[in-house]
Amino acid sequence: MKSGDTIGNAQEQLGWRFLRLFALVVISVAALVAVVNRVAYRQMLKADNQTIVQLIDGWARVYKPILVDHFDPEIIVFGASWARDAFDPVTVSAFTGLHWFNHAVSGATPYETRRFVESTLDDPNLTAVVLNLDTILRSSIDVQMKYGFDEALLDKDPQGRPTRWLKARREYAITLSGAAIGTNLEVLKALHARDAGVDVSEYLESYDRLDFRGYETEFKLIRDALPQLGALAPAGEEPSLSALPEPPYAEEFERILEALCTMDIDVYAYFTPTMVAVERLGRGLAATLHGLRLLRSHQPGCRARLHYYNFNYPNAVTLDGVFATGRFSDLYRSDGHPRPTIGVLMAARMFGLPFPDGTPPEVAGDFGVDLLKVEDAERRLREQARRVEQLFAARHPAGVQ
Amino acid sequence: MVFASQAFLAFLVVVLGVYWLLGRTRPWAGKAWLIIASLFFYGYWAPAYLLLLAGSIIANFTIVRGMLASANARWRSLLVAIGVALNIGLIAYYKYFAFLVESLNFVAATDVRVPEIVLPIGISFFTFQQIGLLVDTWKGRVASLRLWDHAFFIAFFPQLIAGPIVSQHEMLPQLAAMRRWMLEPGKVAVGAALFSIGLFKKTVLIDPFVPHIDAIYSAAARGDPISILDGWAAGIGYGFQVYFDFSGYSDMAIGLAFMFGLSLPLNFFSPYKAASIRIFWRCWHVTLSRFLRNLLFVPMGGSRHGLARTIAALLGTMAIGGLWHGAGWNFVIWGLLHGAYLSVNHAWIDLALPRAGPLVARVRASPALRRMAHAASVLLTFGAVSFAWVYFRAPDLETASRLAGAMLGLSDRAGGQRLGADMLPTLLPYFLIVWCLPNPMQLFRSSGAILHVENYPISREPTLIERRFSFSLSPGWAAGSALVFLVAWFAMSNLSPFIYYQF
Repeated sequence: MKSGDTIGNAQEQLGWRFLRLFALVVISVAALVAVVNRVAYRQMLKADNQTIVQLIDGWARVYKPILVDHFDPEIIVFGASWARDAFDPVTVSAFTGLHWFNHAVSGATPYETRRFVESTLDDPNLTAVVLNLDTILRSSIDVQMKYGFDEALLDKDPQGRPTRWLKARREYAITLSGAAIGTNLEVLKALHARDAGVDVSEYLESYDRLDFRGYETEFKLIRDALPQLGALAPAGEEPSLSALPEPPYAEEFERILEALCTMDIDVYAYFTPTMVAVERLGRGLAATLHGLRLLRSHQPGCRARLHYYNFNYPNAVTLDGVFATGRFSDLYRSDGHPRPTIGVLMAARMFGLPFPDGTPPEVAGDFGVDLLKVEDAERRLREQARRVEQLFAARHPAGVQ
Repeated sequence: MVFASQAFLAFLVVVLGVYWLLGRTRPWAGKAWLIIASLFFYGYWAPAYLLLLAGSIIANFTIVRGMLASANARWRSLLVAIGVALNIGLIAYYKYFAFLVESLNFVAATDVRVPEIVLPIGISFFTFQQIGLLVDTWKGRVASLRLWDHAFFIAFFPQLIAGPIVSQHEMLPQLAAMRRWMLEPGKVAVGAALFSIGLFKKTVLIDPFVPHIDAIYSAAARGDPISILDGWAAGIGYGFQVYFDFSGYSDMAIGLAFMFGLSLPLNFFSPYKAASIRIFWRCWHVTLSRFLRNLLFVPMGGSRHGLARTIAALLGTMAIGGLWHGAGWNFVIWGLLHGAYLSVNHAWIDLALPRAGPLVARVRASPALRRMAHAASVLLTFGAVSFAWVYFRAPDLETASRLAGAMLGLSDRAGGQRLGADMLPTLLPYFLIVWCLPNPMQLFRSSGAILHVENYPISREPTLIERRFSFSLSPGWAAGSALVFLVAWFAMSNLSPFIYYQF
């Protein structure tokens, strides 16, 4: 029979063996992952790779706050996936001659967007912010549905104090986190496809194209309804602004404006042009009018310049496909998100640049206007909303909700 | 400090390292080191509240010493009354004062300003533990107590923030028996494996799922249409969330304590396998259930004074238990619902079962019928518990009632959200885990890390999985635990605190 000491010693030896193996596995796997992720991160820092790095879906919440500090751009885009897909940072930088960074993330909540903005305020080169308002003022996402938002990776904590141990936290995020593994796998896969000559739409969703087939019914209904749009009068008395419900996250928008105004950073706020045949176009009158009110109220005390665009009404872009003869859309993805071609058009309008060669003349004629610079902005927004409603009703003749 | 965070992992490595060094040179110093580390652990969140914790420890210790020094029963009773009142007063101020003002404003139609009071983390746990100590001392169950044993008993970091709520008879004898505070590799190994499993439950199994559950509650709070599927997805989904979150935390706490050679009481034992609500409460948050039973239910009369008195005691106990979780009427209703379930269970056993003798005998005689009856009982219990969860989780009573109404089919919005219909298939793995797999307490039954696990012979015969996969200090377990830890560690990018940290 073994004595207690012998059993104790055997247990101790087994314990040490267990711990050694446990530590060996943890350390060796972690070291391997860290090295691979570090190498991959270098790829992510290359300027040529930014289309893939910034447009890819996944752990953008972890990476973009780190990358934006690395690149220190002049213009940053904030918003959700509609903005992420619309602005290819490489293309739009080349087009405008300014250094852009696309900080938009899929499913961004208003709070996340504000915190991301606050985290970039100290970037010395930043002169302007392009802010997609759809998920802040129109269809607010109030629950974080996507992973990876970690305030400890932002420059400042929610109270505005510099984040403690920021460098160490970020180092961990890019070497040992699940975000690093997930993002690198996606990015490396896309880079490999690009280098192998695969078409961009195959490896980057932002560049896939909507197939017009399957929307013939919607196109016909819209074509039939279009001639009447301008002729129709308002259906009854229109609600005053005070009667329209204030967007639930208007306060987040105001806080963003205040922060940017304080830092003298120009704001280009906009609503996405959504495709009439695919999207509902959003009944955005309350959102657009309140957006106008909020921007107007902040402009007098703001050192920076504010701009406001509603691209979301029946125009040559949103009517894409209605009169087209081709099979695939140049402007929209298969899920109705705008492609980077639309981002260039919006950038042209925002920064007063000529549209790129080949842009249809009707786009130049009626695609967005800075509503803070026109007297009758409210009338225009009401008119646009009315036309949206009419088209929506035309698309759904069986019953409008 | 949250267990599932980089900061905590770094803290743990330092604490273990220093503890190991001290064990080799000054084995008497380990206890002091763990007290210091525990105070740092608590103060990391808000240093100011360290004073509150220290004040609570010193005040309670003084009262305990006062009781120990006196043979006068009335004086001892007075002291215990003062001590309990002080502890309840502390919780009442931090946790319930704002709720009280809000309720008074509502009832009296007044407009008294609601104070903004930050709830000190873990206050419900450490005050309950102190109340238990006071009562045990008053009853003569504590012979002596030293300040640093008291401080260790309350502040020991694995159980400080969210339990298990440890009783003095579980911890003080271990402290007295610990002559040399040294790391024992076998115990550290057990602790590391259990910690890894708990972390995996939290960061891999449930955290990624939480936004989908939140989306339904958010939709209900906005007043969006809620279908019957949405309602049940909300109840069942949150039931899984709170189970994996809190049982994961408890696994981690037990594992951490055992790294330093101390065993903590079991807190969860496959509660969703329970075939009655009574068994559910024997397996769910066991240390709180025990506290409520011993310090509320029994003093209220328990179950020995007839059915009516039992029901009154059950409702009272569970309502207070609900309120312990949070200052809000939805928590009270959650508690009352469970009180009602338990009452029905008692009434069933007292009144219905004796009259159904032949039927019960027939069911018991047939293995097939017995299995069917058992499955039906598990489903009924699970359904009742899931129904109550919406009151626990919903941000307000109106939202909870909307969801509960939808669960009962009272919502006429058959379309509702797609959220519930989309989510239900994703619940299947969770059902598989909670109904078909052994729990960590079963796998670690013989490790010595878990107190009272021997009282839970849920499966008469260990299953094949239990036999094949019970913990041992084998290379397979070492490599497997390490991989589980790695996956859980890598998944920690999206930090979310444990649910029970707020209670």
